[in-house]
Amino acid sequence: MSSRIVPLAIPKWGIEMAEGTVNRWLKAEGDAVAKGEELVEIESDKIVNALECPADGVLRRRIADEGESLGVGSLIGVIAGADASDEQVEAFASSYQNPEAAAAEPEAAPAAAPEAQVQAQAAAAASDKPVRVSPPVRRLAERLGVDLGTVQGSGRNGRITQEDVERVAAGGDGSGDEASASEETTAAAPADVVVEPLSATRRTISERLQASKRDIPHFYLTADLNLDAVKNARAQFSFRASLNDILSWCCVRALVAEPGLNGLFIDDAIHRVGEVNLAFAVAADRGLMTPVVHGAEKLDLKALAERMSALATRAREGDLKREDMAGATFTVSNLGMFGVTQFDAIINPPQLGILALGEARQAAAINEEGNVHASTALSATLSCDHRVVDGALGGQFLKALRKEVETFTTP
Amino acid sequence: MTSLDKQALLRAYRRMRTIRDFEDRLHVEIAAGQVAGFTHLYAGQEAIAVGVCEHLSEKDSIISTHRGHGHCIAKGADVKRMMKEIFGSSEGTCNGKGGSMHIAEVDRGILGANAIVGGGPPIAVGAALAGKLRGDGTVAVSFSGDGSTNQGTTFEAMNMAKALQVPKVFVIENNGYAENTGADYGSGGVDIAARTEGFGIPVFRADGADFFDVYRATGEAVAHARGGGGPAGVYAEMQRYYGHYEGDPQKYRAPDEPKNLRETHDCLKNYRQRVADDGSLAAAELDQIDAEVAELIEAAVTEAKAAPRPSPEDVTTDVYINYRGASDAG
Amino acid sequence: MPVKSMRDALNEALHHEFERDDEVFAIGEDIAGGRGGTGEVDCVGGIFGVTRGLMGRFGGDRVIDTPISESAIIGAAAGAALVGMRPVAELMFADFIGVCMDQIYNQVAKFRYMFGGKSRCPIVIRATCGTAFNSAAQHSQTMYPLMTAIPGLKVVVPSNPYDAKGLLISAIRDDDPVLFFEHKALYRRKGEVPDEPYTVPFGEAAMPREGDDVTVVAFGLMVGVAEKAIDALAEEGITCDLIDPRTPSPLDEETILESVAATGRLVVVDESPPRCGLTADVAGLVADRGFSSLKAPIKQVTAPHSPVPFSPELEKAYVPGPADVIEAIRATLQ
Repeated sequence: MSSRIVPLAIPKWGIEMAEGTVNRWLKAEGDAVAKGEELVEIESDKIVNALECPADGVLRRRIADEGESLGVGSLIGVIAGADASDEQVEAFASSYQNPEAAAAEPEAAPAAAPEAQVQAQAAAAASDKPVRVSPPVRRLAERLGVDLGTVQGSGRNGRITQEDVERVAAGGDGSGDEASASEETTAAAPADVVVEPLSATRRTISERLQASKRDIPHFYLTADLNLDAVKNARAQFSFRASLNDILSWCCVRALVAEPGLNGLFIDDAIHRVGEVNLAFAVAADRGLMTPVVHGAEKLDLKALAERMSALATRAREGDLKREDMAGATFTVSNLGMFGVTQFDAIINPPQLGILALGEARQAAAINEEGNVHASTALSATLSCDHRVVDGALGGQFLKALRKEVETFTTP
Repeated sequence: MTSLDKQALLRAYRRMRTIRDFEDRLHVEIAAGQVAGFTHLYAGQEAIAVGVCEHLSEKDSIISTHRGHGHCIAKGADVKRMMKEIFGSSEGTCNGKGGSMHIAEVDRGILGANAIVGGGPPIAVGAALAGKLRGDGTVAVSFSGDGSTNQGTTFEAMNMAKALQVPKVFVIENNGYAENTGADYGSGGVDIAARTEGFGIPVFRADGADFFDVYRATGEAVAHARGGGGPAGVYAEMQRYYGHYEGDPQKYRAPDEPKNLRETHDCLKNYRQRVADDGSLAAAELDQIDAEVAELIEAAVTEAKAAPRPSPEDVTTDVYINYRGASDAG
Repeated sequence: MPVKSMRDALNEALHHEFERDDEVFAIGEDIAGGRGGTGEVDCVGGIFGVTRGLMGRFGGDRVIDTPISESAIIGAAAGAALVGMRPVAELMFADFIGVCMDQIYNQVAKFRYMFGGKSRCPIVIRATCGTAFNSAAQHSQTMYPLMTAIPGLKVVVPSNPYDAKGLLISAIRDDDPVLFFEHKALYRRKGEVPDEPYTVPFGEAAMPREGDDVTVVAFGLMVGVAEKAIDALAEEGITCDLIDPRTPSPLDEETILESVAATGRLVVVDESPPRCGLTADVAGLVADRGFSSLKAPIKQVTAPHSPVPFSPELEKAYVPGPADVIEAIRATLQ
């Protein structure tokens, strides 16, 4: 017999055997063993059987103890000729690789999820649709004797889910509070939640901003915007619109004119989005909130102002829904009310950029004739993700923004 | 054996030994988790495959079963490529697409192992029909287990072969079990060879553990078919040494049945005894073959383990058309 | 609730129905095992163990091992059903439908209609299907899309142990022919299964995930694959309705159309090849009757248009995985 070293492994009996238990060794270490001889009893979930010796030699090592359960292919012993050295046997055992484990197919790893929320664009705006009940939910309610009229849906837009029906059937009050409280903490925690330094919301903000600053190579472009046209036009408004509303509206127009910055960067691909979903920063008690105006390019200034006002109020009252904060394609942040003249904002991934607006201030301006006159100006700083946005694109956007602001007329 | 010269005797022994070592080694490799899929071993029945195929040229066709390694080796398949196929390599006989149950080398007249019980006999009728239409003197052989003879396809093939008078040999290997059910239960206790005879097909019976007897019986059957006499049959009994598939707990067999078989029914021992008795071959010549075969199998396994693996793109080669599939969702 | 494998859930369903109705019997290859051998009888219980213990409890007259003769197995079961019994025939692998196609396609499926509605054929044909264990081209096919195409058959493809038990009981009690497909990779999958008998009705989809953005319809093994994909996307805020039709025939069209009406986006997932299959069927349904709600092209996730390969690397590439489903869902959102 040559000194071929032969592994003794948990066999695969039957088509599906995944694991075997070493019931009883029938041979001791050092016993001479012959090919075909029964060596050890192995138990699968179906049967107990004796494992036959794969080769003539000596049972040099018993690696698995009786009672031990191991995966198919796992090494339980080593057979070798008497002429193989202990070192050789040891080296063989320690370097043995279970071929079954190598062949076992790792589940295809799902694509890594970006940290930011990417929301389907169309799903959010449909709050006026009738409450949704799918046929499986309807049938479940029928079977459980639950009147759907008494169930308050916990899903988006009040959708009644199977869980809602089961909860009511089990004696719940139908309000959905029990089930939904925990999952809504990030978006709409009740107003009486005490704000801790590291609330879930704050932790999320913290992690995301840290990730953004770490992963995104930011660069910043600043331009001064002359606000004279805005001021003149605003004097004639028949409705209420703040300077921030107007600048946001101009930003939306600029994004329509130069759509290169309106989109998302996910998984090494730029996702161009057909509509402008403009997020704007609101300082709330719970921290920085960024509600989103979906489809902003379809709104006139009045509608945009009303929508932003409503969202800001809800943000401050802690009443934002998850979809109110999802799906943004660009963000505007304004710290002018605090007297900040200029600042650099951190991009909210996977967006491509963010616009930071400073305080409107008195400034000297020179008109086309070369005459100096008093004027109002504001510094706007665009932060760009340099992985996918180049300086020229950022410059074009600022140029478009400046044009919108400086040629603004009463709508 | 007048018609077997020394070279043929050595070749027959080498092929039987190759099959035995091939299967015994696979038994070990499979138990150690080295081989994927379903594998059905032929060890024990070597005399039948080799006794039959020694009468065939490369131009003659065989069609095999799910238990096909022995038939393929007997018909001259490339042993190393077979091993690579079983290990799933892209260098296997079927580039890793077929596996143990689908080994084929059509160039060598091996029309494939076949994983549908009863799938083969009708196809062999077609190969035999081609031989008849072309008048090229070829015969086609189908191997069927006892289980396969209960399929309608086998009966239809027998009847059609007779009706069309094609040069076809039905080899029936009764190994005692159709998967986990006894052969007698499956046939209602009726003699399987007699059923074949019921179609008007002459059947030549042989001892499945005796190469020389199988060789004799097949000689008569092949002569009948080649000579224009229409289909013929060969019937041999010999149980398999291993289970239906590797991993089969074999509770349906008496506990010592496989072990006893190796003692009492071993075509290799019988062969050695026979050539020693009549002095046609020396033990040393056979020992040398044993050593060479052992080396071949060792090399085949080593090479198979190291052989290149197929790449995922190979899934859609060898198809007639590629549709832009769904996995291509973008 | 007790946790059981799908194998045990199916085994339990058979025990319930054998107990309840003595016109129920099982017929197939090695469903008990060992007859005519030199060792133990009733030692197999079906190659995947689904019929284990039936013979010991209900006897050899009701648990009938047969020769390897698929045409005769299905034909015999069909005949017994035509005269009123309730046979549960087993095909060891669904691929063997090829051997007995005539009995299924031209006989079983046609009786009731062809005889002017005056006959019933309460046969259940159980078959192990699907790609797993490197079973290669002739032991790996799904086959259920082909059967779904045949008028006169009901087709069941359970995705989990609970449904498997309830659907098998429904199948046995059904007065019409039912093809019941058990995926070989699901036999070991565990889930909560009540000890008592219960039914899961045909033609009613399950919705194991509820969401708003995309409708995903998946069959059999692919339901679990789709769940993994959907759960991964949920972390990004993308939520999906996942519909498991459970019975490709009768198909719960209402649930699919309602969901697509709400989401406007559809991904259909099956492990079978793409042409003339279930994904094309569902896509066709929605294109026909839900087109106005669609906001994006329908995406299909399937195996390629090829036989099933043997080699582990190739088999893995053949079967759709969560990454394929994620890609398709994202594509509908672009």
